[in-house]
Amino acid sequence: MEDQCGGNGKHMNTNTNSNGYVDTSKAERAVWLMKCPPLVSRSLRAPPSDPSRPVAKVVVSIDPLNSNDDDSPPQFTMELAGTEAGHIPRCYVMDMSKDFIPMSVFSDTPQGKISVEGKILNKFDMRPHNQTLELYGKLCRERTNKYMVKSRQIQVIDNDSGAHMRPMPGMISFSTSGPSEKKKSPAKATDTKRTRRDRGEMEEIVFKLFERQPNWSLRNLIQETDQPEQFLKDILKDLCVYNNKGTNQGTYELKPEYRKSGD
Amino acid sequence: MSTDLQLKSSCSGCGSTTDLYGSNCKHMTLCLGCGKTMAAKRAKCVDCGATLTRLIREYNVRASSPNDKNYFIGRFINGLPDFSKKKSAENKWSLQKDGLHGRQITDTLREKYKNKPWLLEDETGQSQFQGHLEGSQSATYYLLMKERKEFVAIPAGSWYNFNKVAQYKQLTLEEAEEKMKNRKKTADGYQRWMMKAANNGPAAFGEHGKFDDNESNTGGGRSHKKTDEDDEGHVSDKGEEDEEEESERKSRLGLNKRAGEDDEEGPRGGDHDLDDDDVEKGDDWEHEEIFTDDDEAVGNDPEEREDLAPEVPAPPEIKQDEEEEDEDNEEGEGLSKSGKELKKLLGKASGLNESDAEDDDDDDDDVDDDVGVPPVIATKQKDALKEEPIDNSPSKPTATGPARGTPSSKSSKGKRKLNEETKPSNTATPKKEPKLSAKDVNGSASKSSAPPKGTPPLSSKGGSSTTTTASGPVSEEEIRAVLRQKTPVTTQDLVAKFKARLRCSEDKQAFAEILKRISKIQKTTTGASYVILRDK
Repeated sequence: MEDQCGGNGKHMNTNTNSNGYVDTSKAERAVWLMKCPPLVSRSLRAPPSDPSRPVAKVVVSIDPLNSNDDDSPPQFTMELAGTEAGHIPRCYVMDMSKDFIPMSVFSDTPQGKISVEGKILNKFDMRPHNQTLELYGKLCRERTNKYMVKSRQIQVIDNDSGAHMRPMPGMISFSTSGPSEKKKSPAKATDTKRTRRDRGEMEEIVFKLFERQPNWSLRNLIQETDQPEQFLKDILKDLCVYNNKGTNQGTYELKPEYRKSGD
Repeated sequence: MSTDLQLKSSCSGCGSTTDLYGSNCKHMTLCLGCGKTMAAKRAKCVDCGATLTRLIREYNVRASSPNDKNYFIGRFINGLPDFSKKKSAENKWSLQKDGLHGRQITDTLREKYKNKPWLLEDETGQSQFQGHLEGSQSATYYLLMKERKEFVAIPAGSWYNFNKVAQYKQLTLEEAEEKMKNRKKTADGYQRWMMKAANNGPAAFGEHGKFDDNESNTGGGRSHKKTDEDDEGHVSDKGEEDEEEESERKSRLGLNKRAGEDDEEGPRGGDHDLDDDDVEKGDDWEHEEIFTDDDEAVGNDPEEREDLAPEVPAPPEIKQDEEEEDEDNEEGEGLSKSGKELKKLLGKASGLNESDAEDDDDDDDDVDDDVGVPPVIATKQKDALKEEPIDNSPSKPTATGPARGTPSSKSSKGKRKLNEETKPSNTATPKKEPKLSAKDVNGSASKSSAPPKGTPPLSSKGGSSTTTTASGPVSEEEIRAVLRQKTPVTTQDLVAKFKARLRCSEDKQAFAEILKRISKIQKTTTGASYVILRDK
């Protein structure tokens, strides 16, 4: 393609790099817009060794008997000139569509030059021609087989003793701490459950305990009666005497008036 | 690719050189008319014998030569702009990135403004378009441009959606002048507002004006002229004030107006010194106006008082709260008084003799009954209690009589009477418990000892009596009575009964001594030990 727009004498700015106006000399030129499959775009893009050799051929076919009717518009086909190996179909049907949004083609250069290259006259979609359907079928088959190859495999584990399935040594400490935590919770429950009994009942219980044994320590009494310490202390203060000295040091003893003497 | 079609220079049928086509077998060159004729006749090719059905043309497609041009597509939803007006008026179009107007484009700027929208506008500014980049186009598009019987395939780049920009009306010179005049009018209004504010705000402004008037008067030199000019000035000032009052009555500017009036009185006084009696009349008139203003001010006061009215009910509420507090205090004092009375009574009881103590006990019973709230059951209990003292009073002299005598028959009678005395006391104690439970707590608390199970103060008083009789035989008699009533009595039961009385260590020791002297302990086969009276 020749660059006939090299010289532009229409710019008004002194700065040649930034052209303020658009070149509209080719605004009315007709351009075809073609939506290409990847294979076709590859053929059209490949730089040929021989520049003068065409990369494709467009065939326009009309029906002479109905050339002026709208029922049979001209048919367009494109034949690729590719020399690639494989089952690539080389003949495509170009379906034309007329009703589309008006479009223009613009071009800009790194120097900032902008021009209108034309407007879209026809819009085409491409599909393989009926003559080349067998080739297209083969191409699809190859594609499917290519993607059906499995990339992952199932293999049997050699070491099936199960040693690697057991927990690591670091987990042992965790397991030991578990039971200790469990032991703590019932103790708290007993603490919360401890409630005061009636004072009369408690006094009766204390008298029975002292019948069984004349000297009791506070801890032993708490274990036997399962009562709050302060409550028990109050009762013992009234009914018993604390031994600070002697063989029964640190124990409570029933007062004489409450004791059954052996007289 | 199939063999290329080689069109000949002329139609093989009629020899025309325009509108030539090839046959579908590519062996003949025909024009459109001859093609139609042969197709209608179902003629066959001379070379290969194939039937003619379609006429074809072939165009070669070449790849685009590599250049620096970047092609992009612009979609115009509202229709394509007229780029071909060049011939008529040489209309020129400019297309540039938004914000990149008039700059020297470099690679850095190009990369920076890559996603900026395009701005397309013509020289006159009547048509403006803004092109936004469309979303990613996954498909590959090629542009086929015709060049001398061949097509050139050019890959298409980005897509832009161009929308028309709303155009603002271009004002003509006359319209612009009209708008400017309107602006001037608004400016005049602003100046008027400034004049009004100046009249209101600084008082010096008014004084300054009056000084000017005075100067003009002095320049005139005639007294008559002075009076006329002064009147005119006053009239104008009053008019302005009235208008201002009407416009802003209750605003703060009203207060400023009053201040202005006060300031104005001063210079008027000066005028009075200089002018004749006619000015005095004017001063009186002005005073009347000021008075009317004061009336309006006075009118505002009742509104303020009405505002204060809702505050009035608040104080009685506060007073009610205070009254409630006083009542609470009084209740507390009552409790303290009752406590004091109880303490006094207890002290008296402890101090008196046995017989006197008993009499005081009866009095205490009466007092307690009165203090307590009397339900139906309480009234019955009161009646029962009243009967008991009657029973006690006749028994006492009879008891004292046989005590003094020494015959055996009399002594036996005395014992029987003692038993009778003890029985009603035992029966009386449970009756009194429910009534005096609350007060018992207070009594026990006052004594500063561990609270018992809720024993009545009468029992505690009985304990005090026992303490006094600990050295005497009364306690022995009581213990003997208990032992006789219940033959199998354990030490625990006995202690439980007299626990209320055994609070002090001395009481406990005395109790133990009495038990040792009076009774002995007998052990049974079951293991329980019972207290039994010794035979004297």
